Amino acid sequence: MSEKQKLEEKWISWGPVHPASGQMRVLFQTDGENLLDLIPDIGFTHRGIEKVCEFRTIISAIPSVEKICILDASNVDLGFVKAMEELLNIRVPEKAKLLRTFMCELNRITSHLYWTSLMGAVAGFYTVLMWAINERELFLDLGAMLSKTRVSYIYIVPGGVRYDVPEGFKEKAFEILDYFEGRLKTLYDMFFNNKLFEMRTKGVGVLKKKDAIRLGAAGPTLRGSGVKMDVRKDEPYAAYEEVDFEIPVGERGDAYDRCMVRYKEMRESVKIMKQVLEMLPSGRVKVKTPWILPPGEAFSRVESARGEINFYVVSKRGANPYRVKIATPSFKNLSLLRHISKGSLVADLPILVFSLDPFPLDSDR
Amino acid sequence: MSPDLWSLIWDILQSKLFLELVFIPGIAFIALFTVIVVWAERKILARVMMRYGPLHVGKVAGILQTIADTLKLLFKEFIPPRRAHKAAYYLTPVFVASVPTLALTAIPFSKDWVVFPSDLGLLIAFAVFALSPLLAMITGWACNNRYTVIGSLRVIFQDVAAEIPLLLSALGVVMLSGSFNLVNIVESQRRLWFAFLQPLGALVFFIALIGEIERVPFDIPTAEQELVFGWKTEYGGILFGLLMFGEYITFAAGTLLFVTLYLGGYLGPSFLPPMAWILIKMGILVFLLILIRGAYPRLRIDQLLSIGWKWLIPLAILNVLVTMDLIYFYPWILGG
Repeated sequence: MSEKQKLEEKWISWGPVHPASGQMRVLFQTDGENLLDLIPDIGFTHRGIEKVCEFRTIISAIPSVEKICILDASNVDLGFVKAMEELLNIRVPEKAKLLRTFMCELNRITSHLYWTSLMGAVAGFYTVLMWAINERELFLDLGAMLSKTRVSYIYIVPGGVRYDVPEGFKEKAFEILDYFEGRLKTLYDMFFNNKLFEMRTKGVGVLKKKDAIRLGAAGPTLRGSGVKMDVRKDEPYAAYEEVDFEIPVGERGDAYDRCMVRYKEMRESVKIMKQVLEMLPSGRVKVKTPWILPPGEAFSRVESARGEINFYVVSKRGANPYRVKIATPSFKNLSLLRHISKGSLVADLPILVFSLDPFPLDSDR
Repeated sequence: MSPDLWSLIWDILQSKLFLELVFIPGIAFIALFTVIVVWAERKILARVMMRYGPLHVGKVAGILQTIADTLKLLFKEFIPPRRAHKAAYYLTPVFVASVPTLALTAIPFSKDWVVFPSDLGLLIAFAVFALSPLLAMITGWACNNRYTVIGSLRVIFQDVAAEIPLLLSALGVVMLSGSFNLVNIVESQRRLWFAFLQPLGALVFFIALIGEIERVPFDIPTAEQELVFGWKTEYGGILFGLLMFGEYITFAAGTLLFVTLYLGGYLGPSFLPPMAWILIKMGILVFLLILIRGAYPRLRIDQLLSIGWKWLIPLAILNVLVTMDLIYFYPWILGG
């Protein structure tokens, strides 16, 4: 057996029990320093949520659906609820639309902050880990104030949202958003503009624009490669048509650009949340909804923090949907890992994986 | 016992060498430095990271936390890996903790307060530094675990990349002072600290020093995300404590060496004793290094090597050439 053949048979497993891998593993081959080949191996956390939805009513399915990506609960929730509303043919009150937008952006920020902390951890930068988790706490509290639940909000339901804005919420929200804007600048100086962080991420894991489209990248990963695509703009839902925001894109498509897109998205999210708070009208936040789903099928697109998430729901008249199919962004993005790791070093593997912001639970469903 | 023996013991107790070995820079200093710096590092890093850090042990700001941790480590069981080389596994931590202390013997804490006054004091310090990768290699090899072996190989890569610029930049200081004797080096800084005469050399020395003592951003040998805990992975209990102890003694020796070479060592206004001045300067440097740990991510090993070989070594050589020129054309900078 030649030396090369021996090497080809040796697959090294990174994860699923590794401090930085998450609940997945990456099988890779190496000649010591360079990555030769790599397979992202998911499936350690498969919970069959698509099947679970078939045995739940449209309300009681929501807590399970949110667990697809608990870091980004409201965005996932909205995708499911949108499909249900299309089936039931419900019009949502204006205030509920705005509150949904608010909650989705809040979740985008918490999700991106969680990613920032992980990125700091894999780069050996524990200060950023602590800072980002600290700021995230503020938004978790804000979300809990609105939805009366922490993390798994179950806030967006068919027909509107569960609770109206509580007293003193607006002032609290503005206070937190103003504070967070300042902290974002500090985070930029400390982390994203850090020379050593740039050294670690610039030119690493390049995904060209052409390849990003061909391989089906999603969300910030796609936009990091310079493709200006965002469901919030292309096919506006909730109240995204009424608010003014920009879609940040990268140029080179390397890990640093993907990081910067996420950072800029946090700034845009703050902008959206402030506008929503200003626009908030008075009125109802929920309309009555029928319990029985009419026969038919529905498809929904929502831009979650990790990219576009799709729900395809088929109903054959009944309290439960007949079939729910979910296409999650982490799955799309993790499949890029093999492509972007070409010619990289083993030491870059954590940076490569986390620049895609995968959430193994999200890709397993 | 005969009165002769008593008087002999009394003489030993009274001798300066005994004071030096027991207090400063001996056992008491090393132990106190480790206890205080570990606590300060946790506390300062906690402040940087916006959390509390140690809080409960010792009433005030968790000041006794390090002692509590050491006690915990003392009573913990250590489990050697089955295929480990037992003798090397148990012995190397002792050497890792004790060898760096030899570097402290060369450092002058005042004009006549040196444990081992020698005309080659600087070389002694470097010789001791050069031993540390060897010990790391033995440790990593003795554990018989691939993470530890990779970790210790990285120690060697890193130390070679860091030690050459370290020695080369110190050469500028030697040329200016005309001596390897650390007391002479300090004394020739009475007019102006070498940090001002040799800014480039000081910078290269400082960066290489961070690499030498393996702290963030050059903590590659123990990169947690990649290597669990590098060459220290298989150690637990007080053996791990000894390895950490050794790391902090190297830290102390490195900062003291920098202070001695570039920041005028024990020199300072006379309202405080010389020993206080060197400790104050050292404290400031330690504080700076802890802050750097809070403010930078880790580099990749190839990036560290390219910094070492492509930037630090040429800069150190440039520094030597510039110093040579200065001495040749402007001999008055040597003083006198």
